[in-house]
Amino acid sequence: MSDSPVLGSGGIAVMAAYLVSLLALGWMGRQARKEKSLSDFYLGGRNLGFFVLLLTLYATQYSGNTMIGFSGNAYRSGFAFLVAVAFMMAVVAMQFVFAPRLHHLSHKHGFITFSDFFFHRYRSRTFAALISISGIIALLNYVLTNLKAIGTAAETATGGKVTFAQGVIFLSFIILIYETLGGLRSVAWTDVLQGVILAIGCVVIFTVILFTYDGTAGVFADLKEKQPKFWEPLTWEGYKKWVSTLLVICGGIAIYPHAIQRIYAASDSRKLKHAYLVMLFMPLFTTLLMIFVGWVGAAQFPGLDSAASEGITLRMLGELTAKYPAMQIVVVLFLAAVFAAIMSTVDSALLSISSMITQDLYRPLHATMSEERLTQLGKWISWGLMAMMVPLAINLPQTIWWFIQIKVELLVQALPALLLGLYWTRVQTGPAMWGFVAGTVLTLVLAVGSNFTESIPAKPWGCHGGLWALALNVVIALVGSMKAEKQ
Amino acid sequence: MLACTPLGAVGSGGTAFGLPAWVVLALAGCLLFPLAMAVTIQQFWDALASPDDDEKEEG
Repeated sequence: MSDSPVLGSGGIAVMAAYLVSLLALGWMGRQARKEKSLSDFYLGGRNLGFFVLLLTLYATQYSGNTMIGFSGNAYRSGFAFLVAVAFMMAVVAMQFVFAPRLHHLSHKHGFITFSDFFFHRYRSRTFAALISISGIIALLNYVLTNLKAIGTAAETATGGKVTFAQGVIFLSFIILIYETLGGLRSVAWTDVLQGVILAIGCVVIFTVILFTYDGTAGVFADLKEKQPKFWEPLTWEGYKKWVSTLLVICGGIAIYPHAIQRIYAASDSRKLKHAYLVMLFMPLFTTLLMIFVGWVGAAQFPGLDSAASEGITLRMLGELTAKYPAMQIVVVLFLAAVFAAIMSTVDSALLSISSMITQDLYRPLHATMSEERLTQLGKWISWGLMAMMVPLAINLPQTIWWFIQIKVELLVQALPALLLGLYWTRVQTGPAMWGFVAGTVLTLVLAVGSNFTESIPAKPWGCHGGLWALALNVVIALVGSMKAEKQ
Repeated sequence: MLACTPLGAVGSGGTAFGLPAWVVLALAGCLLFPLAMAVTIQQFWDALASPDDDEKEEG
């Protein structure tokens, strides 16, 4: 890591003020608490209004990957990475299919977690627990990825004065404090601040880089000369990869357990609808802009390897600051947006994991325990999980994109049982559950197996393993339910 | 959703506005998709919520 800090003393003061404001919002969330119940702690009392709902949905859907991974991927994949704009929009489209009814049912039946719907619909504690365990594994993986990203960001920002490990430990501690102070209410309020920083950060960075490098026409002319492979025609193989990515990622992200809990937390259906209407357009102002920044990087700094390309935005901003010192403010904004994106993801995922362990796995075995004690237990679970994840984040070498792929391919396996459960009265518990189990096992076999032997492809016939698993899952649920009905 | 993918330009080496045709098609899809979805959400949200028939789902 470079010895020269990206942030000067002014930048560090701004970042410190940002972190203090997160703690203050956490405290305000605690003061606004209405009762010591699971629904108050994990769903903010089911009372999120339009503005908070919109920004918490936004900050949750866009992680550290938006600021770092998207530009890096656009640098490497070229125009083909436009698929990221499509899948971020498709996430909202997919959520539209189930959110209206799920919101209604959650308020009527008092759902706290994603699995509560499955227990309500399928009357199987085993199925609900399996959904929970799958969600916990996927989200733990997500937390781990983002903790690694936050350590790298802290080390880069301070030029190594704060080490990777110190960054992970310190920022995890901040997240834990504000999260356990006020639960989802605190997390959603910090998401408002983080969402605003993220959106402003993307727009400002795009604008500055666009004008520095001669506008879109100048960028595309440079790209054509330096990255001629970007101009190659789209092949059927490339198109298949596009559709496969679109389907798997949009389905997986749409049913993030913490995103589902925001559907439950909306105060009313109309506000939720309006939040989604705005969310539809956010990829144009977030994902597309960061992809464009990656393309500019590919034109200006061709030949970077995979790891170096992940830092392409910071590299361009660094060059800009060397020429125009006043541009330091944009670097501060970029790093603030990176921290905001990562922290808003970690806090939401951690809260959701804690709720699933408390409500779905612990509560059924301790039916007489009070909600106050369960809430207290949930807070301890958050601290315990973080104590486990931080050493893992510090010691395990992995890349962001690999984790993201596995996470969404696992999560998407719950989609058939969710949609069929909501809209098809004939779906039976056994086939829906076995479809989910078969899909999850096949996803894991393909993902893990392909790392050990070439005879197991990660993407059979060019499509994600998770998509084949999803097809198997749907066939078992549909055919099994029809057969069971006949019998 | 699939209609907004660059299916129409697969294998085409053509260009438009200085970009490969499939990129222009993908960008157009990214602009049209949220507009079409916004109309769909506005139109069908209440029908999908359908609070009157959720007892059927419970049965």
